[in-house]
Amino acid sequence: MLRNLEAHEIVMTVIKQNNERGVENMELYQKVIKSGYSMLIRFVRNNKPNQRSLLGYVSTVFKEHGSYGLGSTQLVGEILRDDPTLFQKGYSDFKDKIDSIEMIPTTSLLKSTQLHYLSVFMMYKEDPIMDNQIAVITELTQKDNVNTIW
Amino acid sequence: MNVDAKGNIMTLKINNVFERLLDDKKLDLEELSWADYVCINLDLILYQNEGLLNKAFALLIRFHSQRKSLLDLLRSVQMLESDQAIDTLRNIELTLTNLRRMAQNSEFWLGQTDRESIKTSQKTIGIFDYLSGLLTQSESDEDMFENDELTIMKHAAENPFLAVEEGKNSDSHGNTPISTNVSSRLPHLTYYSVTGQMKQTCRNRLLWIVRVQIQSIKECLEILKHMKL
Repeated sequence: MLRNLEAHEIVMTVIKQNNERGVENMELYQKVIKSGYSMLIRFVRNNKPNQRSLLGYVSTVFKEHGSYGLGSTQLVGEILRDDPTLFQKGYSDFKDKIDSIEMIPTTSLLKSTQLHYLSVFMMYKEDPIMDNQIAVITELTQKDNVNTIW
Repeated sequence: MNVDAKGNIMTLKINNVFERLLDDKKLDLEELSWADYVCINLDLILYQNEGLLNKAFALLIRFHSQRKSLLDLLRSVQMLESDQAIDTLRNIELTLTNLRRMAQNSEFWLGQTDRESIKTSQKTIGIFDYLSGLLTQSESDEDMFENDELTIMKHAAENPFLAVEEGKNSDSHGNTPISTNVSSRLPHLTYYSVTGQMKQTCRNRLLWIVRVQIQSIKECLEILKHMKL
């Protein structure tokens, strides 16, 4: 019902509103965004049509709030989860994700959370996907280790 | 009634409505046209005008994919049978109207410190939480719906009239042209007290498909008017 009423589109309109420079109350701003992501995570969980409806936003989610956390990584994980073909479609964004993970300091807790979510790309339900595992490992190890992941 | 029997009855009903609608000559552009509709479009494709070529080609595709378009539109119709579901729909519609209004003005209140902005932010969080609550609550209902959908899809697969090849008549992104070029919104949700209203819904959706095509024909005419022939 929510998909047909385009609830996800409206929530994304709020989330996409990237006016960080003009934010005076960062705490409340993050609370709104986090709450929006939390709703979207429930929206796509175990629901393929909903996952597909948000697939086009993966890139936006990465770019807007990938460095904050706020549930954006979890949302991308949930969108791409449980469908091997979705991984292929979101592959270029996934590469961007690895780049953005590299940028986070090794001491940050966010780094471990985001690395944990890379496992989403390597599984289909409970089964590992060998090709995707190879892609993830290759992508991670091909980096110049400017800010080493290991 | 078990799920299989329910699925069989639904398939038969929809099959009848579907076939009768597509046989309806009043909605057939080939019948409405004074000359061969396909030939007109083929002729338009031969003009050295990129816009006209694209539109005429899109019209041809739309004309030959009406069955698939109608099927896609019907798939997005959600039937609400219980009073409780209808009430929930009304509540959600109201909430989403408020949220849409706030979302459109979000640049003015999101992250701002004045009292009104804080109030709007809190209201938005409240709506997000309400929607999250609905999603948690409906998880078990979703499972039931998914089972119903699987049953209907199973029956559809056994019926040749529904056997539309996936990807056929779709553009390079896999979308059907009809859904990518819509200029007006089509309501997806309809609630039913009696299943007979399904017929009206089917007709409305076919009318919409034809209307979109007529709009494209008008656009072709506009291009022709401005062309030096």
